[in-house]
Amino acid sequence: MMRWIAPILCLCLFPFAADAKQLEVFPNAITLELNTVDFDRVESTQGFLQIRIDTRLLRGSRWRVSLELVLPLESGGRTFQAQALSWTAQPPFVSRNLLPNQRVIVGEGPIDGRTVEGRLVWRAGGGIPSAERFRGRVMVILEELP
Amino acid sequence: MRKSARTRIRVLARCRHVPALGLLACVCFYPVDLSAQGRVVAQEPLDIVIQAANSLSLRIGTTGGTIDRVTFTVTQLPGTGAVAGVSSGANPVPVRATSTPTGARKILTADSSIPLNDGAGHTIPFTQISWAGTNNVPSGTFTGSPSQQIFSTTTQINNGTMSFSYANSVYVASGTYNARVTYTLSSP
Repeated sequence: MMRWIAPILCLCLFPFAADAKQLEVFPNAITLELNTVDFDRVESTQGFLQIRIDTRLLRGSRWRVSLELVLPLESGGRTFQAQALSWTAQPPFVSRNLLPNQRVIVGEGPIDGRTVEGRLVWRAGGGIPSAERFRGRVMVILEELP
Repeated sequence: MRKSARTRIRVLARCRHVPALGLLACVCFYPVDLSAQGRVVAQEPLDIVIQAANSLSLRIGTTGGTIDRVTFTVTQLPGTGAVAGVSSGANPVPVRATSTPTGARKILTADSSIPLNDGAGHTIPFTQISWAGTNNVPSGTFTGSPSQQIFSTTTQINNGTMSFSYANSVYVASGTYNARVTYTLSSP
């Protein structure tokens, strides 16, 4: 019986040891500034988010990265619309915008042992009637699909 | 046949540990939530801050970089009445002055310190030119000062207008007189 324990423990601990390398996100915070440039036209500064996936440590046939707004963007009881927060990206990632209360797929691809890297360029839209600072949190989620 | 049966028995004997192994594998390899379509293997948080900057926006006349020209064509003798001006842009001249935050105080000033001149040494003081304002834009007359206050308000001015007129109350040499007024919007 003992001869089973060492290999099983190794198998069990391996995914945990490798967890930090499966998905890397940099930086872990971005700030977007909204500037009124011509009355009704608002321009946002850009925020850059680097995503890196090491598929060597994944199982199944495909990986998928999604974003989920886990803490709404709020300021003093006021909420910034999730839909107004968007990003552009190059394949295998896609350009989309956030949605409230649901995961938004950012990219999907085969688990083939390669490292996948991409950059999301974030922008905020819409006007804000006062000089406010909205804070929220997005969770970057990596899934493996059978 | 007998050999085959023995092999089968041996295989079954080796598989005695399989249920236990299966249970352990389940516990160890599925430590996180199972989503409907995939298995979550990693999550990373990303904090987002959206900062709206303070801003002031001012437009008097045409959109963009165009500088409108208001022309007074004087065909009457001085003292016979004011002459209405005609803008090269929209008439009356549109005025927009907004801010973020919306309730911020907005102060509009005008610099009319350089009088109208004909290029031959003759001038007309800016005090000869007045305007009638609408929609929160007050009416007034230029003072010829570099920082004449036109208004000070906390309201957003989105559809104000100015209609200019020349008093035509002084005798001047005939000719074409030009000058420029520069408006500045500020917030204390």
